[in-house]
Amino acid sequence: VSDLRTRLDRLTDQLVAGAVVPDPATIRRRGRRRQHRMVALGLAALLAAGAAVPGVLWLRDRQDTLSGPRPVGREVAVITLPGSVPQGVAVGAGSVWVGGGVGRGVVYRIDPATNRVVATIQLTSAGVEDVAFGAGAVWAVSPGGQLARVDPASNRQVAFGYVDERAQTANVSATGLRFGFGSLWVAVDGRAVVRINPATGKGTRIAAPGAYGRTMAVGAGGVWVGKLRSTTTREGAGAVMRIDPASNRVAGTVTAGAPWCCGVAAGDEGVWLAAATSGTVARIDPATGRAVATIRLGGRPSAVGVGGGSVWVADDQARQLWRIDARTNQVLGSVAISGIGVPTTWPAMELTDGTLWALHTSPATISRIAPHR
Amino acid sequence: MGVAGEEFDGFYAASYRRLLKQLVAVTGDLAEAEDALQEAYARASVRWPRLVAYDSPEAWVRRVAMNVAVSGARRARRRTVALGRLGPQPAVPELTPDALDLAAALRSIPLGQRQAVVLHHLVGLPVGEIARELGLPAGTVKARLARGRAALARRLALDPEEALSSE
Repeated sequence: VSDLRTRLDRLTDQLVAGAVVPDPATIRRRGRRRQHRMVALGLAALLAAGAAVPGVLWLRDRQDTLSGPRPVGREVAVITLPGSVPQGVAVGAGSVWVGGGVGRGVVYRIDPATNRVVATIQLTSAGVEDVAFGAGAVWAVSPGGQLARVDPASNRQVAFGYVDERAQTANVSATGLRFGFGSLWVAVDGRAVVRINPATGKGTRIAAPGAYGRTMAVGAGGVWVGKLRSTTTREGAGAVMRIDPASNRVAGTVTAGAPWCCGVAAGDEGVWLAAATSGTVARIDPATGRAVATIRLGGRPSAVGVGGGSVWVADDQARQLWRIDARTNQVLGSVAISGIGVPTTWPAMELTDGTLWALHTSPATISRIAPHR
Repeated sequence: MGVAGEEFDGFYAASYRRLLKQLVAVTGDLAEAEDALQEAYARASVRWPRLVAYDSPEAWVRRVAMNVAVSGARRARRRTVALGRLGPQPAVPELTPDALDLAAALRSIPLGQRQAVVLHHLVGLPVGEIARELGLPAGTVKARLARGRAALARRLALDPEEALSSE
């Protein structure tokens, strides 16, 4: 076998010796041209099939989707953040806290009274993957699993360590941080969630295969974490695990019926999953783990936030936030916003005291939205 | 260009040559392999926001490129007769005698067997993963590997029993 492998390796080395790697911009242009061609072909097929009436209905629906039936809030402030790709937003101690992102080990503090960055807090870690507020402190996790505690009274890092013992000695990849049930929850390595006692800093690793921290929410009786999709087995698509905080185990898995879910929110209004690929949002009954409603928004719904009787859904490309009535599941309308989230760093949202904070990565800003009463 | 574009470019630069080697082993033709691979990357570029969440975007690109190459091979077979009438074939790279033997042996086995042999012996995938990547039952992959290996062994003096030893 090794002989054949070596010979195959040598042969292919010789065959590709003269090959030139094309400029990636050329490849991306080719992708876009192909996409446009497919859209044009699809439309042509639609018309050719005599589907003019459904087509017009679809376009009308699409137009409604893009423009929004009616405004349901207003972007009252846009705060520019230093750095290129901020990561994670949290609200607490009368302030809004934003992580500096990869390569920027800082937390920004924003004062809602002035809508300004009032402090840039330096951490020991080289980057910030996500932030959370809980137990009277701001917490920041780095992509490598380092955990910092920031005291909001002094605007200083007051403790620094790792999410658990394993992270001290091995390479760990942290993808999200949340606070709830008196604990910090950090998704690591695409296969576990670490529950951390904020008083002692001690972490307990919970096996959760495929756990992806950017799709993690705490509330509605559990910790809900989206699963990475496996390329080869196609398992995990659109699936969300529920960790039972009483047993520290994955107690069940929910599927939204969509190919992939990009955002998870949990609260008194239930559990909500955003599926960018199908343009839908699914409402999950936390008691049964089943989808009880699927709401079509169009576009690419990504981040979700719940609170105050509403569900807010960010479209990561269309610069708008949708508002859904959590009682009736009706789409109430949308709010135009000035930034978008780079899809690979899905925008984060925080709701508090009737104010919505939406973090954008392009440009690096955070929007303050005042919902209409 | 946004962060997503930069991430895609980084992935592309890191994986292009490795995947090209795997494709060229299947197609036996550099131009065909390049075309199939670039088409797969083009498709990946517009899906990158979703692909980046996969545990192996590279496997996705390889699978698409293999599919494109297989379709291309079918079209190429239909073109062969016409091209034969038009004149000499394009220049091929200089190969050592050993590489020439292997290239000829690979060309002599069916495309399905070639895919299985390349994925197993060059990429290093176990039978189960090959089955998932090609969408075939594991038994079919095993049979293709065994037949492919046996055919290669007849031409290259390899041990045919080694075919599945690294599962």
